[in-house]
Amino acid sequence: MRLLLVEDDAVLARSVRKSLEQAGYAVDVAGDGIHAEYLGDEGVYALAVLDLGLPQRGGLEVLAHWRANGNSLPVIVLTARDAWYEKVEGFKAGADDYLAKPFHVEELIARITALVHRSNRHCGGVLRVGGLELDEQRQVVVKQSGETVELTGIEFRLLRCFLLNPDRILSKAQLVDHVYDFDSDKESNVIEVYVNHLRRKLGKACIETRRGQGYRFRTDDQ
Amino acid sequence: MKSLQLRLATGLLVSLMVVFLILWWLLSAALRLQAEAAIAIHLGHDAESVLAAIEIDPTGRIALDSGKVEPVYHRPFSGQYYRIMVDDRIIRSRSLWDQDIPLMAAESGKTQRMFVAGPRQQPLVVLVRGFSKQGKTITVAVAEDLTPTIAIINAFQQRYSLIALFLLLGLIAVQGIIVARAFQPLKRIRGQVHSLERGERHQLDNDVPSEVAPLVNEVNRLLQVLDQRLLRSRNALGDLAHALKTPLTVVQQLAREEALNPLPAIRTTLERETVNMQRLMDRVLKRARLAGSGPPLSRFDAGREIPDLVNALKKMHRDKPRTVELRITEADPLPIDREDMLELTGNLLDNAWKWARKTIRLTLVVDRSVGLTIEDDGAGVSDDVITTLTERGKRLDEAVAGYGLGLSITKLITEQHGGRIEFGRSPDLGGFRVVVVLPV
Repeated sequence: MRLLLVEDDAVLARSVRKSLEQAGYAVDVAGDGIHAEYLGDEGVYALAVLDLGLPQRGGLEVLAHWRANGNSLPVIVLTARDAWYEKVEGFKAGADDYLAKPFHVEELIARITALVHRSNRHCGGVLRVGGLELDEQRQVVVKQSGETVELTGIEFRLLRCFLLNPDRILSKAQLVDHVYDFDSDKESNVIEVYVNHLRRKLGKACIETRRGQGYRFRTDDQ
Repeated sequence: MKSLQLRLATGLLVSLMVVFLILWWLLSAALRLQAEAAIAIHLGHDAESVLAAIEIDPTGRIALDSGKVEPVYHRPFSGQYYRIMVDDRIIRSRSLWDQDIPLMAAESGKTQRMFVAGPRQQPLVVLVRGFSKQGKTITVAVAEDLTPTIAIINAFQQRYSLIALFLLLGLIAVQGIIVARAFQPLKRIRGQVHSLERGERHQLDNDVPSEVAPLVNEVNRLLQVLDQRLLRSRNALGDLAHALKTPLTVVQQLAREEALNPLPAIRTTLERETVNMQRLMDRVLKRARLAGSGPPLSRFDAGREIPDLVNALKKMHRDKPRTVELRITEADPLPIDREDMLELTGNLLDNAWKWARKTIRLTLVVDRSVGLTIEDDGAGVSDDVITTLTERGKRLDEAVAGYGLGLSITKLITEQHGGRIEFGRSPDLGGFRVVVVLPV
């Protein structure tokens, strides 16, 4: 899952980014409103964390522009402005959630996870698909047999992507977008390697290769 | 108290009196001149007829044929008199009785008019004319009593004064009405100032008479400046909050760094102090930003704003779905600051959300005051806690754990608006109930 973090305070952005990456998200940071609006319209992000007090273009304006252009990117507003009328305005502008500063990063991660699940039409707290149960806190997967399988960082990101989009074809480019942030070296062949790792750990049949199209996580015959 | 109306009335009264006096004098003089001229013509004719009645016999004796003179000259003190002087001889009309009018002789062909006092103190106008008849110089003086004329003039003057007095009173009354009408816009402005205070309007109407317009415009400008100042100070506080909270978040994050694992004491202190800072900041900022009573910046449209607020709360508490029953009867926007009302309602609803099992009910009733009731179906609180909550000046967030800053801010807002807040148990739902009553 690739997230857009919009925060003009470089120190806070760095610390939040680190925590989010540890939680298994690829993170891009935008420091001003105009850059943020442009990145948000790229269509590669699963979610945006948006500060409201931004240089050049205010967060509410950025959000309103996204919504006016039909961009339904899930947005968590992160702001020091926590009066109720400001919260109401934030939600009216199209925010999906609101977190007031100062905040604990654990709460932010919990809200991100919940919102990502919700926006992928997944209900409930735990990601449980096709006999697999993903423990997002410990970043491990539990098989139907009860066996716990450890995952590396990239494997975890990739599997979460598959579990949130079961039975849907995901192209290599899409997977790269969700697994790596903007600054990483992107090598789509690497995806193949990690898909094979997952197949080895979870069974060959679970991920199907569609030649020329991409990969599909199967839930039908498991 | 200087009454403009009194000053205007005095001014009008004095100027009208001057005008009426001048007119009175002019008219009286004109009347008198007119009457005297008419008398003079009439006396001229009489003088001629008296002259015609004079007969001088060849011996030089003068006689008067009284039959040729009007009979009024024979009635004693009738007011019409003649006196004929030829050389040393004087013939007086019978009407003069035993009195005389001492007069000088006039040269022939000369006419004099004079005023003298006659018999019985009658004011007389006298025409003295000199004639020459049969070689003798005859001075004929004819006099008429002015008393009837003066009586007529006096009667006129009395009537005139009476009419002038009525006109004066009438004009002052008319002026009073005009002035009262002219001050009507001021009364309207006073009404508008009242509605400014109640927040029903932001500016005064400027379709007022041009004399009042500068004042109204100044008041409007002042109102605008005050509005902007309140807005600016609110914005400045918001900016301050923003500026302080971001670094505070960074410090909080720092406390969780792995490098601090071997130093639990430092971590605990950092965490505790950042929480303290956050609490202090919240309290000070929220207290400072409250608008309190006075002209609200924007009015509170409960029918529109509360559903928006509930919507926001539902999105914030997705993991805790609650049914919110809204019972709002008021359709008109309330003259209470929108931001304060949202803060108050938001805090109470958020609190109810925390404790409710399924249902939260919000009731808003407006009559002479605004009554806002928020109740839930949670466990409620014990009577002890309610007593503690109700205590005046108690900091609720310190008094009762779990009731956080929210209730204390609600109490602050209520007090600032001069209202009252009651805590208790919901008779219907069984949980906690808060009633806020705010004056409108």
